Amino acid sequence: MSKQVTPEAFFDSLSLAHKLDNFLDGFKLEEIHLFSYFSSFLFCYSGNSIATWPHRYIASNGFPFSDTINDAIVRHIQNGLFENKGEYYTISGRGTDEFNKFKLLSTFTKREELLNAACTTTILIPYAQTVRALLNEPNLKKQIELQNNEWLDQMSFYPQFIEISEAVGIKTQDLIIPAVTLINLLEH
Amino acid sequence: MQGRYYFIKLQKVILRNFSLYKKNEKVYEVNEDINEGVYCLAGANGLGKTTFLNSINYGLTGIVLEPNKEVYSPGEIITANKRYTERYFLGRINKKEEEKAEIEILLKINEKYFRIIRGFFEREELRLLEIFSKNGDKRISHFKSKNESPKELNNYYQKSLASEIGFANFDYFIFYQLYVLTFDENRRMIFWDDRASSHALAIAFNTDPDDAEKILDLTRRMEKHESNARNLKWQSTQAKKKIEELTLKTKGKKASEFEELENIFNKLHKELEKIEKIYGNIKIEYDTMLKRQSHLNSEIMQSKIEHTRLFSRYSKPRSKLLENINVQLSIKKQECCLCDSSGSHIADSIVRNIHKDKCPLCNTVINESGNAEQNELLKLIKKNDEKISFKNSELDNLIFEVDGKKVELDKAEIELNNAREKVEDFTEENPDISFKGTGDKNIDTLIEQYKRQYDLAAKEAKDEYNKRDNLKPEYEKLLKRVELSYKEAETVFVPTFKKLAKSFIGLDLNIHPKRSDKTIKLVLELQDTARTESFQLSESQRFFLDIALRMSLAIFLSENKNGATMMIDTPEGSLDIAYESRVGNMFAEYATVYKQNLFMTANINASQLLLSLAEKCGNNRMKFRRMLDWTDPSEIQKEGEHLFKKVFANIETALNKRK
Amino acid sequence: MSDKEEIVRNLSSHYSSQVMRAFGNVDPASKALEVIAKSLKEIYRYFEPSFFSGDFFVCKNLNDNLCYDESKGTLLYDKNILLNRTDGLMIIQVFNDSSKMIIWEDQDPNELMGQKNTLAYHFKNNKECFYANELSIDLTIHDKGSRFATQFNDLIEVLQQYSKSKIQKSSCEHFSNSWADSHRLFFRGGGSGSNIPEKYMQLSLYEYLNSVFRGISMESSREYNLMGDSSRPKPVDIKIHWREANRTALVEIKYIGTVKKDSDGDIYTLDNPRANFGITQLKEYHDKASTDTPTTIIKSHLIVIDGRRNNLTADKTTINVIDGMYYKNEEVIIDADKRYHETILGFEKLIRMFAEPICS
Repeated sequence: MSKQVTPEAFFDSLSLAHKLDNFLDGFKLEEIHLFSYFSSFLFCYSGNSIATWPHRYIASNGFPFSDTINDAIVRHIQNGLFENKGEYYTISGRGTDEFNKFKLLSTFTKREELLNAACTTTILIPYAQTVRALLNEPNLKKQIELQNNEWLDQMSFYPQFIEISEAVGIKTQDLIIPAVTLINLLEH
Repeated sequence: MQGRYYFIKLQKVILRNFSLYKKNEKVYEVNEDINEGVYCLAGANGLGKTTFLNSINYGLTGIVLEPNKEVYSPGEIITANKRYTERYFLGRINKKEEEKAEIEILLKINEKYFRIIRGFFEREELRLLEIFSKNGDKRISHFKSKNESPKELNNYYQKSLASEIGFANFDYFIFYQLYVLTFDENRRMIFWDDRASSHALAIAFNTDPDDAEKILDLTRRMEKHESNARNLKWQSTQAKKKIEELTLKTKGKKASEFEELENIFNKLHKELEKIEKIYGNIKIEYDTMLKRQSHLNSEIMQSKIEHTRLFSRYSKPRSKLLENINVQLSIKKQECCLCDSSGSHIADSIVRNIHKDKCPLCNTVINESGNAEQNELLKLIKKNDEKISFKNSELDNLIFEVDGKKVELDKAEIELNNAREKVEDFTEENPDISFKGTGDKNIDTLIEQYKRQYDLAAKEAKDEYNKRDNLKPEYEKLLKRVELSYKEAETVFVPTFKKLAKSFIGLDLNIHPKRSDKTIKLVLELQDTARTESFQLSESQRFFLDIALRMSLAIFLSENKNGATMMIDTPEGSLDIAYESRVGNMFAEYATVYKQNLFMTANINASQLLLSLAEKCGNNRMKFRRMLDWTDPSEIQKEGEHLFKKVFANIETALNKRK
Repeated sequence: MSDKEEIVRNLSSHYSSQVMRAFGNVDPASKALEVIAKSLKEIYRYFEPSFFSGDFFVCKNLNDNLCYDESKGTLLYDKNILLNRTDGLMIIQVFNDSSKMIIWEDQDPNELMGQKNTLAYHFKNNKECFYANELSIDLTIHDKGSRFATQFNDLIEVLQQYSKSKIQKSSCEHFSNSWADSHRLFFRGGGSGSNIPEKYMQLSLYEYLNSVFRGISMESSREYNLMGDSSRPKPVDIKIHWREANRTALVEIKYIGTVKKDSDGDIYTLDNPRANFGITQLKEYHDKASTDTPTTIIKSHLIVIDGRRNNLTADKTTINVIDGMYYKNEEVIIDADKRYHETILGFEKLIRMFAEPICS
């Protein structure tokens, strides 16, 4: 059962792991899925169509879950890029090296911006608050409640996000501030 | 949307001079008090149960639906069925009684009572209309027919009824009453009929009642433009063929072949529609499989994490050996307490030796099988391992299916493109017609005419397509609105449907709205597969899932104390015995927990269903009526009477048991 | 939609929005915010803000122009020189290039606050804020330390969570073994000195921290207990090392309440004196650790698990709500000469965790 790992999944999971480990001293696997989901909102914010985001998510155990991300994570663990430290994982030295190699590729620079913005919220806002907010995303919550096994649909919350962003007056190219705004908005 | 309709509660039904029901040479005047909850009319086949149900619907709407016909949109129902209605009662009522035969219905909507009398051959008229409410024992009249013409009475009735219930117009009421709230012997499914479910959804999930009307209107208009365009294209092709024939450019195409070509054209188009539908369905199934795959992967992941956790607990160093002070010291100091060797490898060696079966010092076998905690862990590990391997094989099977489905999808896509190409090719043949004179003045003039026809038709066809396309954005916007308001309703509607369907089928179901280019429909996922075509389910399953959907709609739409009345005609006709008591449960839940009403006719074979229904409802909530009084039974029916009596007795007992 | 208005107002008042507005919503402003935040996270690995009594600034010029004369400052190559700073003036400028940092220690901070294109972070006396274009934006959310130095603050939060989720209703498998009876009136006691309840409490906390707290490694005194070297005193119950930061926390657990001896069913009560003894013990550990590893930042926490009940006699098997919850909000009384949390830096006030009984 050897699966194909997509390049985006490979890079996204590696990059997220690198950042979360750096900012939080360790990460749980579901946090990678969660921040990948978070990044997809920022992807839409930059003007892209959600249909071109390479991962789809279902709700599982209260968190978003993506097949493609999962395959990449499993591969990284097999290859020793992620190390198991009991309840948490850390990125190994090799993992950091691999990440530094790949982040220079032009195909990944845009993705790196999104992932960076998503993860930086863990420093700008107290982490527990960030996770609580993300798990509070209406579509995720609804799918957990309904147990209807449908794909998570980022577009159903997105219009509200745009409306509020405009009202608050964010017009920057960069994604850090929208990321922070999204978290603050989700808290309500 | 939610809880805003005040549906009809039947109170009383009287049939006068209805010759079908004749006992001992005398016409039986049916006079039934309809209770809240379950009203069940039972009798042998052929006694006229369906007619009774149809008569009530006729009384309410003025329409009897012609069997074996498709589901019409609200605006078309009357036109499509009026002729059938006019003939329906001919065989059931004596010519002599035609004038006198009439149905009287007393119904209640919220706090208002409607009393109507309609003749069986006057479908657009009412003989009497009374609207009143009660204050204790006093009657407060809101309307009483006096000098109005029967047509006027009917119009007023239609307006008032629709408005009282909450429908935007009476056509919607007819649609809901005849198609959604009635499940008759025709077994017309709305769930698996794209247009029907699209209409039902549009009416149900529109916060603005006008929107539903707009959607239906737009559907009609777009379809009209499309068929116009097709016809015009065909005309242009015909003209071209004629020209070619005249200029002898084509070989052997004669007039008779035009008809053949027309047939081919229509066939191609029908084929295209069919393939489009199939492709759409395969796509939905494929998508569902991908979701299922995601889900399985996540579950396997969880189990593997659990596995690792259990293992690390299990393989923790044996406490007895490790807690030994000297061993501890040795590990800490990296120095063997026995031989004083030191080094970084010492700790590893010691730990390794501690894990072996025997004591490293005296070689005694360490039997920890008596250790209760280890045994528990081992049991859990085994169970978890089974779970993982089970899920893995499920995943393997699923991947295999997914691959197959992808092949199917690709194939269908190719076929779809082929079909599209064929249609395009056929209608887009060489657009340029070279106008070469033949020298013959008359023929040339004719050719000139045909050329004009061709140009005109081609242009008009394009116009029609444009008109259709211009309507598309608004149509999609409206559909999106329906989809959005469905999503809002999901949290209430979906659990109700899942619960009802589960109580029948005993399995977990998912239900989603799926929007395609042309419509929005509900898709069912059963047992983590996607069944989009009704033929993938057994007839009973289709049947009752359709009823579950209607019930959920009714529950969702009805205002708290004004539940809808589902009319179900002889449901047990296509029922497996195994399902009977489940169905009884589902009906009972509908009538008790959800406080809706059920008007059903039943054949005496449905004993299991009726019994479980009676047990769950009891006298308070269920009334059981036998048709024996209404007609003379036939010989065969007479013979079976003692059997009937026994069943009836059982049902009566069941009714009385529950208080 | 006043709901929406409220949301917009809340979001606009977040410090990130304020910073952006102060600089006219330009991209370099959010970059500055990002860079400063990440730098702070890094820098605070080396020294602990709640131990710092001076003025600490981190600044970034939006165009990466120098905030002060370069020759008056030092390029910061090795952050270890920041280890264990406790006072003074530090101004560190950070740049888009994350490897570059310049530190000044004798320049005038007022100059900084006047610069128009510079975002400056200021920490002083456990308060932190941003200066953005002459606007001062408060960032403080913790009583002590900084929101960018999460180590010790996270520990306190985790301990509070532990108290709520595991101790309060004894919902921990290990902790529940410390009770002698099913209504949780008495702690278990073996012979004298065997300290059975403490053994389970330690195990309970150790496992909880292990599963919930990231980036740490721990040593527990259980391991030392077995060495049996009587010349060495018992070490602190749990020692927490942060792997990626120069911090250590010492945690000692004591319990107060009534103990029922396994052997003969006799009871004895531990109360405030026991807690105060814990404080003394912990202070010894703290002092020793401070001298053993002078460059490490150390905080010490005493955890007092409070299982006191009112009107308890040896024969009781049930208790009413009044007697059972009598001590729920009753603080431990700390002797006047043991108020180290007021005098010794890093010695924290004890955390009392009340364990409720099952009341009838």
